[in-house]
Formats: sequence, C-alpha cells, structure tokens
Amino acid sequence: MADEDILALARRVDMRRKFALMSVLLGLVVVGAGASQFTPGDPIEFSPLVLESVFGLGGAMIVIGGLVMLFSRTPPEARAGRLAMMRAERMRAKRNVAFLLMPLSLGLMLTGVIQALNKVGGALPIEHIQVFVVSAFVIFVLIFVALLSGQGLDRWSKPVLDDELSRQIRAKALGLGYLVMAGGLAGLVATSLFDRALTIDLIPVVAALGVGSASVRLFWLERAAGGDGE
Amino acid sequence: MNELKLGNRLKDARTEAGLTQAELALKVGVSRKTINTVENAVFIPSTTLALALAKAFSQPVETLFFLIDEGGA
Repeated sequence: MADEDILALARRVDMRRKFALMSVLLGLVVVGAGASQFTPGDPIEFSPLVLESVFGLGGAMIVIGGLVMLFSRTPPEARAGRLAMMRAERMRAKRNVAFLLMPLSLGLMLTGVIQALNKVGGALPIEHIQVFVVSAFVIFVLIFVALLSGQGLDRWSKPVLDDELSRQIRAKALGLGYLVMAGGLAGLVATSLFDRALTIDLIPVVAALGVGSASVRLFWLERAAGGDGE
Repeated sequence: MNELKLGNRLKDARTEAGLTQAELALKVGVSRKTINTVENAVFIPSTTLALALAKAFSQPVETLFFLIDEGGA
C-alpha cells in the first residue's frame, strides 16, 4: 500500500475513533444529566419513563462508541517511523486550535457555575442543570490541565508532540498558568478577609484564568515556533 | 565571564544536503518546528539533539554548533 493510502486509511480510522469518543462523552453527558435529577433541591421531577429513556439512550451511546473504539485499529505502518511523524505533525495543528478553544469553553460555563455557587451560599435550592454545569466545569478543568501538560499522548506521536521543543514550550505555558493561578489564589485569600461570598464566586474565575492563560500562551508559542519554516 | 551564545550552521548544512526542515526532522526524529527554532537560534538544543543533528549530516558537532562571545573580549 502506498504511503498516501496508508495515511488516508489512518485518517479514516482516526475520524471514526473521534466520533466514537464523542459518542461515549455525549453518552456520559446524557447519563450525567439523568443522574443529576436525583440530587435534592430541584422541584422539577421527571417521570420514571423519561429517566429510563435518558439512561437507555446514554448507555447505548457509551456502549456503541466503546465498541467502535475497540474495533477501530490504526494500520501498524501508520504508528511507526516516518508515517507516524507525518500524522503527528498534522495532529499538532489541530491540537493547537483546541488549545485556543479551551478558555472559550470554560468561559461559557462560568456564569452557570457562579450562579450555582451563589445559590448554595444563599441556602437556596440548586437546580439539577447547575449541578451538572459545576460537575462539567470541574471535569473540563482537570481534562484541560492534563492535555496542557502533555498527558495521554500516543506513543507513536511522541517524537513530534513530546520532543524537546514541545516540552520547553509546555513548561513556559504552564509556568504562566501557575503564576496566574497562584496570584489569583493569593488575591482570594486577601478577598476572603472582607467578603467571603465574593471569594467563593471568584474561585472558578481564578481556575478558568489559570487554565486559559496557559492554553493561550501554548497556542501562541506553538504558532511562533512554526513561523517562517519550510 | 562574557555572555556566550550558541550559534549554528544548521541551515547551511541542511541546504547543502538538499533537505527540507520536514525531511531533516523525520531523519532526526523531532518535529519540524524544533528544526526551525534551532536554525533561527530561538531554541537551544540539548547535547543529545545537537549530537543527533551532527550525526544526521555525518559531521562533528563543532562544525554545526559554535559559541558566539557577545562580550567582545
């Protein structure tokens, strides 16, 4: 098989695995949304039939996605040597766009998270959807930090995505994120002396700023490193 | 001690060998961006990478990398 054919096949398998992963994640979201109905406080109750449908749909999405991922195998030629490096170079551009979208997605969730924290602080009943948004925010922050620090990279992609330059760029980006987060935490300690409610509201903002600053810095450094090349 | 910087002739060596940055990157096993930033003296490679680059051109490492004394002493 010619190199381009192998790369095309690998691309199709990657795409299939990506859709399968999205199916699993969406399934988890659906199941999570269903499970959030069991948290006390929200006066809205769903019928058992609706809940069964939600859990059935979510479960089916997880199982189907999982099976597709299990049986989608990348050709071995595309996981080693020159072809693996070519694939990893292409993957790098896509990852870079993802870094730019991280702060955006955290920013979109912030309002819901702060509203939920306000309700808890005011001893008001929290809505199911807010429980879900807070859980999603926490999970996203953890996933983004793992991605920014280079966790979960396939072994075949490491010569490109985890080489010396990548590690140095990541260290610089994470350094900025740490600075922002530590500065924000110091600010929160100071704020807590005169306004505890505001301090709690600002916790997710500091977390989002820390992760966001690291991801934007990573994006710019990666972009700068690729400039005027051949 | 004067301020020392690392200079390199990587781009010249690569051009002479008729390689693109991507081809050299594949040969050495790093990303194209690494080659680009080393050539532009933005990134200082480790000893391992410097030796790997020299090996790729079958040249001693001193011919590819050298020190520039910015102090002018």
